[in-house]
Amino acid sequence: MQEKLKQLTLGLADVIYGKEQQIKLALCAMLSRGHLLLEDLPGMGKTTLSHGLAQTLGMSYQRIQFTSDLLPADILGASIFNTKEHKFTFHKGPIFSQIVLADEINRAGPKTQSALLEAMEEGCVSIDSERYTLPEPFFVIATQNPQHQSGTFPLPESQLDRFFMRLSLGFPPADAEKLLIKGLGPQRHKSIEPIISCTELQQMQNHVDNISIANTVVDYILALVTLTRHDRDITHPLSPRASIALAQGAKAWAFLEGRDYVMPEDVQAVFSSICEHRVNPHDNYSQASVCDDILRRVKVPL
Amino acid sequence: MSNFASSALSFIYIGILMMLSAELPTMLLSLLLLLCLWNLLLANKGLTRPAMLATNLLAAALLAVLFITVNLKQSVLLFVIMLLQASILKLLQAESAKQQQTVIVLTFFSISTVFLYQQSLYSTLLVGVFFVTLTIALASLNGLPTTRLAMRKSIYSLCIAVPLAALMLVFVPKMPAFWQLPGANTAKTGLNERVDPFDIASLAKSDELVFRAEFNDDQAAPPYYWRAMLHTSFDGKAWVKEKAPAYERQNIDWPAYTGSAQIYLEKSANPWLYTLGDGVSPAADVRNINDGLLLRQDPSASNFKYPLRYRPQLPAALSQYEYRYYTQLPLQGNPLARNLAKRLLAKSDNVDAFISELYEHYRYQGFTYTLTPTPITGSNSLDIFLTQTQRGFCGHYASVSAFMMRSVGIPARLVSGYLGGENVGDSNYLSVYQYDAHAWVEYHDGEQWQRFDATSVVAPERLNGSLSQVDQLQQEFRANLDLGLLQLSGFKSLNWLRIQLEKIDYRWTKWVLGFDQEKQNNFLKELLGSQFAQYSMALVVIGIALVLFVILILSSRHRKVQLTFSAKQLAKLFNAADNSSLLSPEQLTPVAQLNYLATHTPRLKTQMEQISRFYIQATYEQKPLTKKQRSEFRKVVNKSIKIIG
Repeated sequence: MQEKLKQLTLGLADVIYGKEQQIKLALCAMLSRGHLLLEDLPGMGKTTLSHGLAQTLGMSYQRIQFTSDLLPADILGASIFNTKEHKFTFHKGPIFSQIVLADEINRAGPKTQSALLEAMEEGCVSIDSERYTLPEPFFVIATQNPQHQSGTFPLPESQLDRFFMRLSLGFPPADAEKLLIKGLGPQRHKSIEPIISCTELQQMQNHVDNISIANTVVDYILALVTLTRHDRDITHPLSPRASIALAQGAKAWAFLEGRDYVMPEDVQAVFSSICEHRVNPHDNYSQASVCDDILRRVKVPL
Repeated sequence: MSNFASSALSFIYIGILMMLSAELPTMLLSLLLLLCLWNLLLANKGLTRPAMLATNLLAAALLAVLFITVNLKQSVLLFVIMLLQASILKLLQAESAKQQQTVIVLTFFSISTVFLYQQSLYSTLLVGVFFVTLTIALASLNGLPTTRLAMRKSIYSLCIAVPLAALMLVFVPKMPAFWQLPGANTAKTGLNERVDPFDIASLAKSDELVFRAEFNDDQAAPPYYWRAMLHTSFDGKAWVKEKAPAYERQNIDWPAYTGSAQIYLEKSANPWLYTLGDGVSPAADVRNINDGLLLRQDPSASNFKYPLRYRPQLPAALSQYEYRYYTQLPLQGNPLARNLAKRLLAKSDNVDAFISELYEHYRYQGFTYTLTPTPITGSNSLDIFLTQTQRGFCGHYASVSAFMMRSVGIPARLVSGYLGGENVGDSNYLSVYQYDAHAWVEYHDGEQWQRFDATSVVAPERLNGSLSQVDQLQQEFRANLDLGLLQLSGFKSLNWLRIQLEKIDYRWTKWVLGFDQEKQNNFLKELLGSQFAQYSMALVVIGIALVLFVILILSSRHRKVQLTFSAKQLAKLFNAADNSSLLSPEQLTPVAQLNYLATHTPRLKTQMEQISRFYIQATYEQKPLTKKQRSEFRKVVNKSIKIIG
């Protein structure tokens, strides 16, 4: 299993250069059965990363470009009257695939956003009082442009909380960018071979669930979460969903590190990605600095 | 680990079922045992558990069996079995740790149901073992990695619980039950309202304790005839208990009753109580009835004790009505017995002479005492016994003798009760067991009721003590007994052991089970002095509240400083390093801090690597350190502290 994992990271490193940390965090979200929110400026490789993930994992993939006039039916699908059979037949929308890339999610209206987010939470969609189960595993990668850009509907806190992790890719290192400029980077249409199968991914997810987490580490997570609830600089503290996500993410990170037990280091590694978009600091703090501050202030229990 | 909990729970339920085996119908018992074994198999082989539908069907089937085999009137038994069934089925389903925790909570109740039927010291000890096993299972579910650790934790908590329980027993005010189910109508007895010994082939007697008698003086001497009830009419085959309702005695002359004893009754659903000769009891819930007998006001199935005052039966003339009542017989039947009685009466001219003729007859005409008589069926069973088989136990002799007396006009009645009792060592109490059950005759000689016991001439040894102590009958007696320690009483050491256990059990019954409101009040009065006695309950409640408060404070403080072994070692090391300002100024994780020490203080490198290995193993991997590793860990920490210092 660890062998496959190594191949997977190497394969993904081939797709997007110089972003090992982000690749690992994205894998961590997948192993934890969580959804991913990529937030960055246009042209930073968000789409490339999600494309690469879908192909290396050998999963079906759909991309939805969100615009301000996108409607829920465009995502979920709709019942259309069939004149030959004289009845309604359901046409599945793009959400019925294993990996869904919701590009520029904050450009669509709140109604459309919540249609997607509801499907993410329930794992199934209801249309015309009929329930349709989404394929397994189901993984949503949403991208959004930074909030201050014009023409955006920012996701409310309650919906942000449903994303397991928020990542920003950031600018690539100089030498990686040099390769990209020279045209030696990954070709857009180059086909990537699947490295692991869906069942293998599910096996890995089950393995992650069984990784043991010691009491001291749980205490550490609790201490981190509790601090946000007593801090006056934070108006929106971390929810229990965040603490569960922290434990799960730390387990996945430990698995990626090749261990079958969790250490406080794992919690620290995933803390910023999991918690940044869930805390809401006062104006003069940035979310990132608040998370770093929390990590610095909480003593790791012995 | 959850497999361990599941198997442990199966064993506990098998144990509970075995303890209640006498109460449960055989069919239900074997079905439930099978379910337990099935669960044991599932837990150890890791097979898939039955689906919801299958378990529901099973539950319905078990309920049907329950309602068919158990009488609906036995509500307590019904509820107990339903609880057991539900818990065992839940156990069969329980897969996750959380479900098993639910079953464990249920099991705390299931185990306690044993006390509805048994309260002896041994059952208490067994129940204690169940509770320890249960808490071990609980501890292992809560993530204690090894069974040994779980066991230590469990026994530790039990050790805390025992003094607490003792404190509660002594000090917590005893209150009457707020509500009560009708008593468990299941207690067994060696006595029966109908004495019909003739179709019994083998008298299998149980070695269950019936009661203990503690004499307050030394005036009682054997033989001890414990009277329980009178059988006053003969229906042609058997002697039947008096049907007329008992009437209360008025104007009891208390000082005349010079004998005094305390009776500790075991669990029983029977109304009758036991007395020596003519007995009365001042206890409020005992009815003193005619013929010097006692009845229980409210026979419910819990241990019961009462003070007994007794004296020999006094002369009392019979009224005309009573004379007729005690001499009536069926007109027909058993002609040989009637003839024999007539012949014996012809030899003698008064009642006393007739009685001694009867004794002589039994003594010299080849009658023997046995627990395995030849069964006699059909009519005229008394004749067949008298002339053909001539082998029998107390019931046979008493039936025949009373019949013969009545046939010649001597008022007679059958008494059943217990004879003797086991006197353990030099103590002043007797233990009376079911196998001491006895029947004898009382006849009226014109002045008073006299005792006639044919067993005394057929098997005179029987009078001197308990049946278990009669040498001649021992082989036969043991062969008829259920398997138990008593069966092995031939071995000296085992007999000694049995007697010691019996002594402990006596103390348990007297001091723990018998510790009632009255004893508690007396104890508190002695402890606090009589002037505070009226406030005693308030004082006790305040005292207990104080104790609990102190425990609460201590335990909350205790929790803060609780560190594991490896955490303590690391804290020690970091303290030392901090004093020499070797620690990183940043907030680091323990392992990162160790790495920092290793890189910034090269002379500590090897030690730090070793410490971090041990620490990771113990804390994060949750693999307990062996004894050797612990001592190595301690050594290497001390060494590094020395290097730092």
